[in-house]
Amino acid sequence: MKQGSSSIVIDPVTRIEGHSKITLHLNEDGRVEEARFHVTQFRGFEKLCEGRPFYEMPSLMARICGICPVSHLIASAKACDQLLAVRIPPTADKLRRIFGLAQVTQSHALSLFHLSSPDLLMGMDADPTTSNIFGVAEKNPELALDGIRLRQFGQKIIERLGGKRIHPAWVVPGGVSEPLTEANRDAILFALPDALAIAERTLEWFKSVTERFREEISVFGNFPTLFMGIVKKDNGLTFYDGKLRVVDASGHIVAQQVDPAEYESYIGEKVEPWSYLKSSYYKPKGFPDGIYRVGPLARLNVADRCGTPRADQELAEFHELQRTAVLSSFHYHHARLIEILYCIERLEQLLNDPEILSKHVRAVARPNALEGVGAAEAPRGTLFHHYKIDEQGLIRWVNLIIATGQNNLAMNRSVLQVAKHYVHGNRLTPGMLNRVEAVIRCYDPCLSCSTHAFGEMMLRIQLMSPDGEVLDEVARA
Amino acid sequence: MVAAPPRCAWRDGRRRPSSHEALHVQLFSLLRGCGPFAHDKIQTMLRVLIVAYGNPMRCDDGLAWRAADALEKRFSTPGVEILRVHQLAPELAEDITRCDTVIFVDAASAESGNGNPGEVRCLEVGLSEGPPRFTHQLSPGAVITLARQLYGASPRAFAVTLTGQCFDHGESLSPVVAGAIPELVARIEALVEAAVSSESLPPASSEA
Repeated sequence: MKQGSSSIVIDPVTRIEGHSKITLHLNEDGRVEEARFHVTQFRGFEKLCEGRPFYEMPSLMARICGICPVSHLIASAKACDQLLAVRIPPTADKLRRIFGLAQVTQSHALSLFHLSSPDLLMGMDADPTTSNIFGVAEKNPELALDGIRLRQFGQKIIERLGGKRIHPAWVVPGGVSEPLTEANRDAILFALPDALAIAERTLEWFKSVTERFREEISVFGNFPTLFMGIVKKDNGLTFYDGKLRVVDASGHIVAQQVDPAEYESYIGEKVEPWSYLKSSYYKPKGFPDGIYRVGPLARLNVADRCGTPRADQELAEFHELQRTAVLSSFHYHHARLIEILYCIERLEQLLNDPEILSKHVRAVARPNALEGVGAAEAPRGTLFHHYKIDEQGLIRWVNLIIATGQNNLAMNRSVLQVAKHYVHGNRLTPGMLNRVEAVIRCYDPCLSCSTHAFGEMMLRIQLMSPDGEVLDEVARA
Repeated sequence: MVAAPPRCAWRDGRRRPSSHEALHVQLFSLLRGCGPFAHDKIQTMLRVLIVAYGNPMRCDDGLAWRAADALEKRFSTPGVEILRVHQLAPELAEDITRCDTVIFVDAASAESGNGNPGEVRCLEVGLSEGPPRFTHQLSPGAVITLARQLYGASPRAFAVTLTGQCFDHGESLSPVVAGAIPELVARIEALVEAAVSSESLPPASSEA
């Protein structure tokens, strides 16, 4: 933390995926007036891909991120399916779903157990030097072990299907490259009960501790916005395929059954000079009124049902948290746990499908269309891959819309809400810093994905005076 | 014709696990303190686990993977396993409970004061003293500490590094690093052979 006369900087923000900085601007009365969440990485994957053969795209896109490469693989392959203009074999569709569910499980486990459980277990005022997985291992070893086991569960499924845990290239245009073996199917089924037990007891544990966080719930991104997600035909939860649905803060439907290929009519992107992370907004409402959220909280707000027994019970309870849409971003954690439960239940359904061992898993074709859009629900929210190719099948144009960018406006507003509540005067306290970081963690931002950047993710917070002077600066280095 | 799949054994309203199946789940979990996927590994209690980590798409950062490739067929004993990972994550704590000795292989940076490009170093790794900053990317000492905390495991651990020169985008090694790979491989082999034969391990510096 740097000392100054009138601005606060937190750098780095810890326990998130990427490198960022926060500045808090004070007014003449010394109260927080504005907050900015800066993403300071840049990579430019969209440009890097131009000129590459389209069939390389899934593997190239998977390199955007080491945490959720599977989501990029799936969205990219779906865009390529459109370029081929093929309908992939039913078994390939189901195997891709299994792959995606495993990805969501391991990514959510990382977010909840490794990154956020220290806050939930030890509280927001805990010493940052003990508020980490080692502190969790000491205070609640079963929780730490559960986190490791649940993440391994998801990673092992990815490894069994894709050949490796990170950057598997198993999902290809037209389907998947290899069928599921009986041995792998049985091994995954055998591991399901343990994973389910972990999900169930973690959900119960989470519900038992949330009472301690009433104040945080009231100010952690607790404001009206729109919510967007992909839903099935019956408006049920899905991660793989469906139509876009948008609800407002009252829970009323704003748009539904929107083909994701029409995303450009609904999603606008604004570039701010102080961040490499673009801010998405719902176009019909304009900027910034079109602020919307994606990810677990949004998915459970837009979905009428999950479609699996235990997750449906939990969803009904979740919807009772608020008569309108569930607004506080603190509840992202709760939604994440319900989604883990859903993923495990849905995995069982898919693995027991009579067709799941079919050897017909890939449709082969030459490119038959010059443009394709692939959309899927990544762990952090809706993911769009949009490609244009030439007659030779070479990429001419790429647009990627990533979940973290779609949550950017809400993250900024959440930081402002937390800072207004907790920051008084021109100094930062550890408790305030922890909460600013914690509200960002609710969104589980992946800045590597959102800016298509790489490198370590860190946070800096600056407190700025009205005349731009840095009053205080915190850097977790 | 696809064979009818077995039902998953769990939960109300579905077939419950037989006592035999339930016993297996509990047994595997109890034995290793980890999930049922551990039955993949239960057959092989390792003498040595080599963890090669780095990013093979960032030139010299991928040198550990090159060393792993070179080491792949050199060990006739089944008690040696090589893992290739991008970074050290908490899950690795469970993997190292299966071995007596773990060898972390990584690229070092000259800019961080880790010697000159092409220099091979071997350190014995102790428990981590300070808390890690990022909990999805750990140091070897932090992984060892987590394994001790959660599983009561205490394998002997070494970090063998080769100082890199170029960490830019690319899959090729810089000439000075490529030329030092045989030395890196030889150092790892010496550690493995000593561990497997239960000889006294070659001397190594201690990690601060």
